[in-house]
Amino acid sequence: MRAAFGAVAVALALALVWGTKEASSALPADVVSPALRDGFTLAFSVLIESIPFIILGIALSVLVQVWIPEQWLFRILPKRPLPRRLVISLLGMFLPVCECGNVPLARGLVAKGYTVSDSMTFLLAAPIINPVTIITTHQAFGWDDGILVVRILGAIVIANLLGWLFSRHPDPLSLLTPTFAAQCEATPRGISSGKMWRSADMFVREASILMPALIVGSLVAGAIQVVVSRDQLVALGSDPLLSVVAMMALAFVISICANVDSFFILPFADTFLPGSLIAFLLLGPIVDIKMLALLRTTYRSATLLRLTVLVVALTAAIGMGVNLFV
Amino acid sequence: MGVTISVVLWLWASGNLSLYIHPRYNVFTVTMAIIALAGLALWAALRLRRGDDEPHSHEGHDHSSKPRLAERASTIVGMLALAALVGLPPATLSTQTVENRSLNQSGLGDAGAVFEEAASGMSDTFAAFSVREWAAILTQTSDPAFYAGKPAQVVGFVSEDPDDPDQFYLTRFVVSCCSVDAQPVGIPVRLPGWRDSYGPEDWLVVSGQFVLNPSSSSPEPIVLSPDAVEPTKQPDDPYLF
Repeated sequence: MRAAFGAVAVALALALVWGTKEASSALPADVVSPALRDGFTLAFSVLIESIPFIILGIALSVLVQVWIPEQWLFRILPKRPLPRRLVISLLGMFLPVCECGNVPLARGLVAKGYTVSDSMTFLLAAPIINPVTIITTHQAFGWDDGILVVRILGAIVIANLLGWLFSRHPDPLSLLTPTFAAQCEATPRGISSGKMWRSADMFVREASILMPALIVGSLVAGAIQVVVSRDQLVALGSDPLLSVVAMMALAFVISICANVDSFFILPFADTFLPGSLIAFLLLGPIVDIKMLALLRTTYRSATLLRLTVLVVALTAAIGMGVNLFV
Repeated sequence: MGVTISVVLWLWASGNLSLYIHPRYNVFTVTMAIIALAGLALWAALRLRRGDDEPHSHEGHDHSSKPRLAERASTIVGMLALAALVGLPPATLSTQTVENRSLNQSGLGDAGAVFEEAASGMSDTFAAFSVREWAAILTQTSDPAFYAGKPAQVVGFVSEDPDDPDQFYLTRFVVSCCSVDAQPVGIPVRLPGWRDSYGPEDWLVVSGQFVLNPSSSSPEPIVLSPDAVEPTKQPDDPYLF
């Protein structure tokens, strides 16, 4: 009986939202100013585009934490750190979720016992080293200008280098937010609840942590696009150094998923040098406004700042290097 | 999450999802939304079933610490965003975004291929061309002889031409992933006195011929000279994908 109540409760909530949407859709378009309206439209499009991936990521994370035997997750990993991180970089091939979906998945892996630096390696590599992103990048660019090859190699280098750097940290748990670190320390002993309950509970808990971050990230991404004119960025296309900076700024602001960013950036291939396109394709999946908001649920601001600076530096170096020497 | 998913499903059911994301994602998005709803329903059901029996688990969070300012702020912002998500009508991007992003900067597709098609095509080829195809062809040639005998009939919305008050751009947005990447494309239309009848963001069907531009102030060498202009309502799929 109570099971039916659960379904009814959700159905009622759905009906309430639907009723409100029906009513509000009758409002005239200019109920808010065009700039505000566009800002919301852009923000909502980022939100709606990301949400299926977040759901998939949380579902996979629940799978990893509740259903998959622990030995599986560790048996495949080499013991020594260097080859282990290399293998982790390739895990994305089996867990293809967009970059935002990787966040709940990485959280699940850390909760299961992966080290903080391992999780970073995964987060940095998986958005690019996965079949969907590789295929779409190839569809957009083929083998032109080495864009696909440098994207893949660049991701592996950045992920492993940063994973190695963070593994040198004397107190890895301090890289995490206190709330998440506490969550990981508390082992679920004495909880005799069934797997279904734990799955559902974990799903809702993860969603309640990640959704506010996603919403805030989307809002900021939308707002910035209304305020910053794209023309200013685009004027810099043919300069070997400034084009890279412009493309990295665009990647940071636009916050679209890694598995489609190739199609988005393809039209700019006429005006922008290849190195800048590579910089866009390397930076976007790792750090953009939306990702930083999501990562803030798990890593401290100081950690994220260091991560961002390092990734930006490496990406800029790769991009400018390609422009100047290739 | 429940609110967001409900809105996503409403948008899909009312045909408005394409205002935000590319239709190729519709199946995936709706499937995930339904899975999430099922997860929420399961959680609600199980919660109700065991709510009275087991004490609330304290693992992972500390009731005694007050929520930090940042968390409070992000909760408030989140609530406001959800209120906007539910309370605002679905909307297309406005001319504000056209001004913010260069017209025809990108989004024209394979201009060379479209040009070839136009050079060898029959009249039904041109009838199928949208603003995007014509904008692409305009980048390939400004020879008026090419355009002779190739009539255009296009749908788009009005956006002002900053260089010539007697012209406007008939515009569409091209979207590759979701409206955040929307790129405006447009063709110049010469219609002196258009402001008396139409305003920015009005949707029009324009039929006419491309001719040499007589304007002294506009940089566009070729312009569409309309034979007929009719207002129309916004298409169900206002974005070109």
